[in-house]
Amino acid sequence: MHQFSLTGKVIVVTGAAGLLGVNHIEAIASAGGQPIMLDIDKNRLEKTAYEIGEKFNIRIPYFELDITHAIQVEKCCNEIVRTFGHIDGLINNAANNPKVETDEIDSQSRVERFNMNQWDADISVGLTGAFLCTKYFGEAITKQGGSIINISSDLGIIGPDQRLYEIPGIAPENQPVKPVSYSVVKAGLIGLTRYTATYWADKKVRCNALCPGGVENNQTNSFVAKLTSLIPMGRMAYQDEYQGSIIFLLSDASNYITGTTLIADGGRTVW
Amino acid sequence: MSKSLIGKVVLVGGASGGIGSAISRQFLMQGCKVVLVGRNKAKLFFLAETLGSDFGTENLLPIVADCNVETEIVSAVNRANSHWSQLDVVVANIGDGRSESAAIPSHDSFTNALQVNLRIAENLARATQSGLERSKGSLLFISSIAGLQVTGAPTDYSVAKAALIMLSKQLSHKFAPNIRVNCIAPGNIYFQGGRWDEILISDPTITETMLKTKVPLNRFGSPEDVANAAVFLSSDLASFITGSCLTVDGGQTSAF
Repeated sequence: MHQFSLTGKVIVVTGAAGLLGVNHIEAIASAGGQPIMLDIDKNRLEKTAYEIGEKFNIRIPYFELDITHAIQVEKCCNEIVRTFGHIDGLINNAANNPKVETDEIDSQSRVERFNMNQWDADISVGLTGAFLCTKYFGEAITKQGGSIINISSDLGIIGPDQRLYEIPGIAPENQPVKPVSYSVVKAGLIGLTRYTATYWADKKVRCNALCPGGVENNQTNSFVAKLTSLIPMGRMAYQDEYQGSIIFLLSDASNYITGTTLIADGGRTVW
Repeated sequence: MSKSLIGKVVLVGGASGGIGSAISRQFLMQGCKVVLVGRNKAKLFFLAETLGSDFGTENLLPIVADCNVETEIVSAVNRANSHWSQLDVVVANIGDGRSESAAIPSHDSFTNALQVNLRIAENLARATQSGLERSKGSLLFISSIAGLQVTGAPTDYSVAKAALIMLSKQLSHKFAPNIRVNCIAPGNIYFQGGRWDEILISDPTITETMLKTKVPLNRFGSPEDVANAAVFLSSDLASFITGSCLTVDGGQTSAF
């Protein structure tokens, strides 16, 4: 269906070597678009760009980049424009997201003890990085119009249920929690979305937020059981399950959709 | 599209209007079989003839029904079931934005607005629930941005469309996990013979001013814009999406 095609579109993805990022790249490639991968992890970039490129028989350029550094983002943007002549899409996907299946979330994540360096780092990657990419890549998109997707979360809509992260036998004041910075970043991205949608509407730049729910990724059984009991569809998302939303929001099929928040969470936030 | 709707049976309630006919066409383009349900026999059969010549009459089943009457909805659904023995997607697209302009419309006007814009969708959901459960299908309501924010639309119509969004959310939870239920909230959609066509004819400057001052993308939406969203939400591309209300409004509800 041609409205859902991304043929000829050059689309930049941040956090591209991560779990969701790789799936965004696959979605773009599967719809005929030209993905460009940005990530801070060079080894994973090299590996995934090669693997996905092989799968779809295309060359996928990648940039090892710290999106919190304006000069790096600007240089990268200039290079892409020099090579391809245009940029048609951007997915602001990069964010710090401590994993629940490991011990990355600990009692230091509690508000009372939350480390300011961590706060600064999370806001820097999740919000400043998204803003800088919007500033440079977004301006490039204004030359001919296009689509920006900000990857928010179901936790951009609702507060975390901290009972999900509880560990038996630990005192309440020491229980790990989902970091406050995560919710702030994901809600902030919805504000950035509405701002960008109205700011560049006259340049035919659409901007929408996607709010995915939790993705299956080897979490512990007890975590999965607790979380899925909160999801009307009774399961977490499959890893490739947001590809359809990415294609839809990047493609001409959503030409009249801007400023919206597409919630793809199995119904998690309806109650 | 990578994930196919080929062979799926789609029932479109309110098929013969501007948006309904575009939705029906888009599903046919995806390889679906479509049950066209509408009240106006002449319009419905004209649409069936047009779509039949493009996609084959064997892929269409036009059913004339006054959806204001619950028994007629039930009969239409029964007929569709006996014809194709499966039902995968239902689009409840019936609605009418014409009403009284008073701040608080008359009792009769309110009753009528709720009937046309809410109760018909409710009855269609009830009549198709078992079929959609068997197929693990998708139910889609067409609401309006008037159900989300105060626009220039009539009070009773807006209240009914807001209720329709809540009906969609309620059913997404209560029909889960077998049926996905979502909602589209279109903004100002232009098509020949539609409300904006009427307004444009009577006063072209009103529409231009409205678009400039209220719609960031500065244009009307087309029925195809809504139809693309309908196809997306009803397909496997949206397999983890339920309980969502997707605005197709050129940015109107996020701005100004």
